Amino acid sequence: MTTKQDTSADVAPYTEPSGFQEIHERLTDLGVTKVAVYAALGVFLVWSLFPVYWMVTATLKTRDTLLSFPPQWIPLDAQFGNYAQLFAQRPEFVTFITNSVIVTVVTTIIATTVGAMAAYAFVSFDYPYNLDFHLPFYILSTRFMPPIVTIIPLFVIFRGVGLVNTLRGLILVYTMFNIPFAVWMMKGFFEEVPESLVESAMIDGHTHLGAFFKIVLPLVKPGLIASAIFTTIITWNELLFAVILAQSAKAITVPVGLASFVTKFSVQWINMSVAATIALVPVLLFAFIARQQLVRGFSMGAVGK
Amino acid sequence: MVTVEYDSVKKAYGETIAIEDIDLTVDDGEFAILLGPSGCGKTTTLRCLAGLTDPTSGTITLDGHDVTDIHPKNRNIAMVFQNFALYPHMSVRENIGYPLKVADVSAEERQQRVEEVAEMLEIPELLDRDIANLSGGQQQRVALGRAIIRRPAVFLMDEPLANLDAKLKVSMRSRIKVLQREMDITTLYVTHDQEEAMSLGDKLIIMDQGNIQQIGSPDTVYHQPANQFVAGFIGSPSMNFIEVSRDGERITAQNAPDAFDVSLSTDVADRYRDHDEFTLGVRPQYFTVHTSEAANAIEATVEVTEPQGDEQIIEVEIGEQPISLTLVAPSTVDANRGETVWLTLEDELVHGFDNTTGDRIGEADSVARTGQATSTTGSQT
Amino acid sequence: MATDTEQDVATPEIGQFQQQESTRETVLLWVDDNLKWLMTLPAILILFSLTFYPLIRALQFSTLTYLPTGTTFVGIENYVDLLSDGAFINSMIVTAKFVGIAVAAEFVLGFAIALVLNKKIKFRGLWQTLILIPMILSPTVIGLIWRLMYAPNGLLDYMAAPFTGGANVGWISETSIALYSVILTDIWQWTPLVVLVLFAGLQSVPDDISEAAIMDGASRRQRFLHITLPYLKSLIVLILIIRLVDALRVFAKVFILTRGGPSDATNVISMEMYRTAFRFNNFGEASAMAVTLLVLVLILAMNFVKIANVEFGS
Repeated sequence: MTTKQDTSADVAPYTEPSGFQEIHERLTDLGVTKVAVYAALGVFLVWSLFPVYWMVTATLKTRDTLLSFPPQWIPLDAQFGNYAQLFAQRPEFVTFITNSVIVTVVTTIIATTVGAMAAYAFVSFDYPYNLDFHLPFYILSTRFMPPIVTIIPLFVIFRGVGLVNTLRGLILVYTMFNIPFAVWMMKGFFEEVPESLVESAMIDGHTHLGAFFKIVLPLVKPGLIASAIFTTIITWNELLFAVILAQSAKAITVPVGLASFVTKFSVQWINMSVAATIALVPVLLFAFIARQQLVRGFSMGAVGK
Repeated sequence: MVTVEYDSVKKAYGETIAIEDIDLTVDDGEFAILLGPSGCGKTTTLRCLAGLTDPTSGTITLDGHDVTDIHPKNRNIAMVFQNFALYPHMSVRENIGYPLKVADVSAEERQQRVEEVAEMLEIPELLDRDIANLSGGQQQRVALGRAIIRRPAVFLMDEPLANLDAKLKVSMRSRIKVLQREMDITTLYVTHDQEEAMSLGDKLIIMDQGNIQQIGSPDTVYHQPANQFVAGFIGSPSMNFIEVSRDGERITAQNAPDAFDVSLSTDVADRYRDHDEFTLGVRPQYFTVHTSEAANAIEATVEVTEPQGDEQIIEVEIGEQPISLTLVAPSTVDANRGETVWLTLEDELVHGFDNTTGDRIGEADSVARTGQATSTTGSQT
Repeated sequence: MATDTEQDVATPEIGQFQQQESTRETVLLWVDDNLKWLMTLPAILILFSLTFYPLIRALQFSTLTYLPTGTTFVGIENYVDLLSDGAFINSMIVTAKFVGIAVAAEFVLGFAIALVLNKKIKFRGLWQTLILIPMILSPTVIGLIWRLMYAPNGLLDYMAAPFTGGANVGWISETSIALYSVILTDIWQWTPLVVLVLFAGLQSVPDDISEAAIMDGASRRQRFLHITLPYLKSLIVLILIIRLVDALRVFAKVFILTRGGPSDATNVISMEMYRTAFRFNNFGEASAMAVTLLVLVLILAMNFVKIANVEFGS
């Protein structure tokens, strides 16, 4: 049974926008929305970046101009000498940097390798007793644990074996810290490599391990780099473990050194700013190199997880 | 040069049995095909020979040497995978030459052999290209090149043509056949496409549900199928199966006794002397279609006709149930939907299958079966 | 097929069916056979000895009075003491405030910004890279940056001048404001993360679904509530969990800005534990705190997982 549509004039083919919609449409037509969006973006960016700019420019000021009213937005009389002054007044800062470099590089190498191997194993092999699920789960769950919980017993254990105040101890702890990240990052990459490639390599004459190094790893290079950079940044920045496990100058890392500029009594503003600026340069550098990976990593591959 | 032997090979994953009772021999230079539907175990069987899967029990020997526990890299076999498994970060040249690189062959010799192989497969102009820029057919040939460059003892192929389009499939098929002939390498090839198997193989090994159903030449498995599964799997369109009861020389369809009531010739009927009931198997080509009533014929109604050029495929229905049959008839036969036709059997060419075991009923000397063809209870595929 | 190339079909190297008898080969093959364990062993060993084992020891220490003078077994006394420990209870409250306010603010702000940016504007690669900066800086450095801005007569005092008449606001010395000043630094650092994640999520809502809703006559508000939001649900839960767990760990910012003061106003749990263990050298009590915190985090995590599973069966 078909009834013809009542096409009499009182049913308009479209509805006029009203109220908020109408205002919005008018504004959009005028291009106002676009401007508003760009303005909002601008505000957000300034808000996020200005504090960094402030600290960096602080390194070029004097004590007086630093905390002046009104503040000096652009350092006119740049005091580059402040940088030399830091190393003159606090020469041990060089040691801090060396320590951080050593710890970061070694940790990154070990954590990335160990993490990648474990990730590959979980992806490629079958484990009995449902370990396939449990092992990666436990490894990844350590990420959710507040580090302060393990730090106290770790300190006691390390003290017992003489690992306190050593770079070795720090490397050990940081490796532990970073392995879950490495596993988590590499897992996805390894899942993309078809098993038949490895099988083909074995038939062509490789052992499985050989195939892993010669065929699989080159294919996941971007993942390895991203993982390494993540690890580098995390390790370089870390404070809690360092401040507890390494108190003597032999093993103090940059973050701990930075903290020492802020004592209960006074703050050495200029030196502190210089040191902090030096500390953040490598991080910014690495972040720039890996910016695409970082953005993707932080967005957690939200598109198609 | 190399004979392949499987002896009582079995592979189980926990409780599930993937393959068992695998006994087969591939002779030197023979092109053997593992054929069967998805999940029948043919790929598992192949991979056991490659060393990529470890058998649960049984042995595999190459020319008398037991290789069951030997690492794939030491077996001197080459394999072509369904998805080609080409190394994406290498050029064509590097891909083809890779096995030689791993074996520490000198760069000059590698270069020379790669070019030889490329010539043979007619892809010399592709040598410096990247894998990603190749078509399916080209990738296929690169994969073949990588496999043959080492002069392997055995050639394994796992559904290599499955990812190619129809036309390419046919041309690559003949290429592979000629290549195997020329190189005379023992080959084991997996496919689910029975047409492909029939055109390529010297010896077909038909599998279903983890067991070998029959081993034989294309001719043998077509004309003398060991059981109902093989009979129904080989040949296109597939064989028709009708459950019949026998009374002397008369056979009647159990589900359409009035429409289907024919007499077999004496010697044919004699084959089934021990069976009062069995399943009759008739290939679509072995019916003769009459548009007017004929003697000793089956009365059927035409459902669909599919013209195929010189021939046509006719689907008919018989009786109340009804029973559906597929026939192949010359296109000159004028049969239309709804019309009645009469079918006579070329009864020398029919087969009978035991209702319980599914095995083919026939004289002992006309049944060519090899080893253990364990039968499944006549499952109508 | 080029049949003229005389393919030298040499007899295959039969010897190759047998393994080469060399120790190198034997070792390599043994490694290959056990690869599935060998490859995971280093990770498991390291993690076990440096994460699970210390946890067990922490449990052990929590049952002791562990002072520089010596150790005595006291059972659950430490835990009982915690219940009446004013500083501890205060630190739990402070932490709860910190986490609650910071994460809520980051989420709301971040979501709003992501929505605004979800139009077809240019420079996406640029701004995504730029907002990485707060996220990748060391919290120590961030603490220092804001310490500078919070300094008496510093930048923020200047910006607040219209309201305060030029007087110094004790951003980190005033007990009533100190916590919020610290929270602000966390918001500054992590709002970009929420923006990035939710932006990616918004971008991934398929166009055709939104368009279908438009054709169906849905208003923008309806589209947001009925189409966009459900689509983003799992992502929202995920980012909330991540931020909550991370916010619980805050240490460096507090350490640099206020050391837990003034008068314990910013004494978050990790600060309190640090103090108890390394200032007062009371490992027993600190371990009890650690175990308590761990249990709380586990309960939180499990509940979230439960909610997540119920909602999306992920």
